[in-house]
Amino acid sequence: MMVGRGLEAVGVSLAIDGRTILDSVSLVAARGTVHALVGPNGAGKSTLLSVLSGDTAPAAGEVRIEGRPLATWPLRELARRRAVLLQQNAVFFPFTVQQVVEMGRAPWRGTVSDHHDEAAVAEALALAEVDIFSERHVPTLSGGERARVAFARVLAQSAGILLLDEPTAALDLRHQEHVLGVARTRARCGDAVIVVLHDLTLAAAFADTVTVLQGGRVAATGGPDAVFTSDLLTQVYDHPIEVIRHPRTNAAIVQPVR
Amino acid sequence: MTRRALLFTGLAAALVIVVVFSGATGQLSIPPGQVLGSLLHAVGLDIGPLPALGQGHEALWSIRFPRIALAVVVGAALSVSGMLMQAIFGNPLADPGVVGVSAGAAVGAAATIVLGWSFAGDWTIALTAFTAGLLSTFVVYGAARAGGKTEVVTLVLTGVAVTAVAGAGLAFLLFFGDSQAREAIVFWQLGSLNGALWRDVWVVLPVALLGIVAALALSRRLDLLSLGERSARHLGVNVELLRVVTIVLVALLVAVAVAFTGIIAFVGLVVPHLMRMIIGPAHLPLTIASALGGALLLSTADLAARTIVPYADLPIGMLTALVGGPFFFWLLRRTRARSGGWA
Repeated sequence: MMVGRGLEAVGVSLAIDGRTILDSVSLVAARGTVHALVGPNGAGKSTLLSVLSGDTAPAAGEVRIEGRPLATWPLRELARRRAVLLQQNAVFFPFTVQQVVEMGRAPWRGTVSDHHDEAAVAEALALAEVDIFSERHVPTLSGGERARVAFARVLAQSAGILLLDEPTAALDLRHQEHVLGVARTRARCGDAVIVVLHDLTLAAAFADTVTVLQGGRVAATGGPDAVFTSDLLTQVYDHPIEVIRHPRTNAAIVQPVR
Repeated sequence: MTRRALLFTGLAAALVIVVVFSGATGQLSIPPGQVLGSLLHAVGLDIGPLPALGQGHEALWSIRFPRIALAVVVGAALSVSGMLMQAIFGNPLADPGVVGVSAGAAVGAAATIVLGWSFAGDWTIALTAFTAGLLSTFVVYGAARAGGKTEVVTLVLTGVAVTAVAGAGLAFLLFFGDSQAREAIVFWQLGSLNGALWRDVWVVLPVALLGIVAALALSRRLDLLSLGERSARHLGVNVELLRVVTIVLVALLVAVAVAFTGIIAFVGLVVPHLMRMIIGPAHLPLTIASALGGALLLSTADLAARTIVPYADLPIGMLTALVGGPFFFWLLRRTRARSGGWA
C-alpha cells in the first residue's frame, strides 16, 4: 500500500469573465479512496477537475499533490503522480490502440520504471478490455471503445492519483460497472481516485466519499449514505428526487420522482 | 518493423537510382556507370569508370550535381516541414504551401531581390525569407486555432487570407522592381532548380539537417500531441514550448527551401500523407520516411522538369502543383466523407 496524502484542494476559487465558476471549494481525495464529484450541469465539476489537474490556475486557493503545491511540480514529475481522463478522447492520427496505450508510459521514459513498460501496457489493455482490438486504429473505433482506450492509457500511466471526467458517459451498462470496478480496485491498492459522475446510483455504489457541487460551491460532502438524501438532492437539482433502497443489497438507488 | 525497413530501403534505393539517372540525363549524355563512378570516386572509393575528363566531369560537378543535391535537400526540408505542421495543427491537411507560409516567406525573399539587400552575404535571402515565413506561420497558427484544435475550414480559409496578403506584397514588389528583378521574381514564383549552385546547397543542407534532427528529437512529444493538447500536457509535455519550437522549425525549413528554389507547393502535403498510409503515424519513423520520400519526389520531379519537353526546363513548382492540387482535393473529399462534414 502506498503511503501519501493524495490530492487536496483548499479554498479554490475561479471566475471567468466576471462570473464566479468556483467559490472557495475545498476537498480531500485521500489515497485508498474513490471520491465522486457530482452536481447539476454548470455546477463547476469540469472546471474543478481542470483546476485539480493543473490545466487552469485558480484565482485563489491552492491545490496540493502529495502535500506539495501543484504549481511547483515539474510537468514530467507530475505526470508520474497523477493521470487525467478527459471526456474528449479523439486521436488526431490513425495510431493503433496499442500505440496509444503505450503513450501512457511516456512520463516514465528513461527512469528505472521503464522496464515495466511492457507489463504495464499489457495489464492496462487487459483491464480496460481493449486487448482484443489492440491492433485497430483508434479513429475507426466507436465512442465507447475510444473512451475505454483512453482509460487504458490512463491506467498504463501508473500514477497514484487518477482524475476521471465522466469515464462512463459513453459506455454500456457492463462497461460502466467494469470501469468503475477497476477504478475502485486501484483505490483499494492505495491510489486516490477522483471521478466526475452524472449517474448518482453509480456514485452511491462505487464512491467512498461524495462531494456535491452546486453553483460552484460545495453543497455537501461525506459518505454517499449521508449525502444522498431526498431533501438535499431535490434542492440541488431543483427537481423532486427520491432515494430508495435496493430490497436485497440495501444499496441506494437515486431516481427522479416520475 | 519489417514494413518500415522495407520502405526505408526502397526509398533510399530509388533515390540513388534517380540521382544517378538524373546525372546521366541531359543535353550531354553520360553513361550511368560513369556517373556512379564519379560519385564513388568523390567519396574516396576508386570503383567504376570515370566520365571522360573535361566536358563530362564539368557538366556533372558544376551543373547537374549541385542541382540534384539541391532537389534532394529541398525535397527533404519541405516534406519534413509539412509533417511538423500537420503534427502541431493535429490536421493531416496542413501544408506550408496550402496555409500560405511559403507565400509569406516568398515576400521576404522577393523584397531582398528587389531592394538588393546583402547584409548577410549568401544567407541574406534565407534570413529575410525566414523572418517573413516565421511571421506568417505565427499568424496562421494564431488565427486558425480555436480551443486547442484546428478545423479544416478555418485552416484553409486562413491560408487563403494569408496568401492574399502575401500576394499583395509580391505584387507591390513586382511593381516597384526593375525589369531584372521582376524577371527574377516571376521565375522564382514558378519554382525552379535551374541554375542551382553549390553555395546554395551549403546554406540549405545544414538547416535541413538541423530540422530533421530536431524533428527526430521531438518525435515522441509530437506523438503525444495527437492525443490533444491537454492530454499531452497531462503526460508531461510542455505543450507551449513544443508549439513554439515546432513553428520556428517549420519556418526555418520552408524559408531555406523557398529562398533558393522559389515556391514548390504540396510536397509537404503529399509525402507525409503517403508515408503515414504505409507505416502509420508514429513520428520517429515518419520523419525519416518523409525526408527520404520528399527527396525522392523532388529529384524525380526535377528530372521530369528537365526532360519532358526537349530543350526546355519546366518550372518544377508547376509540376508539383499539377500533381499536388488534385491530391489535395482528393484528401479534402476523403476527410469530409469520413467525418461527415467539415470537422
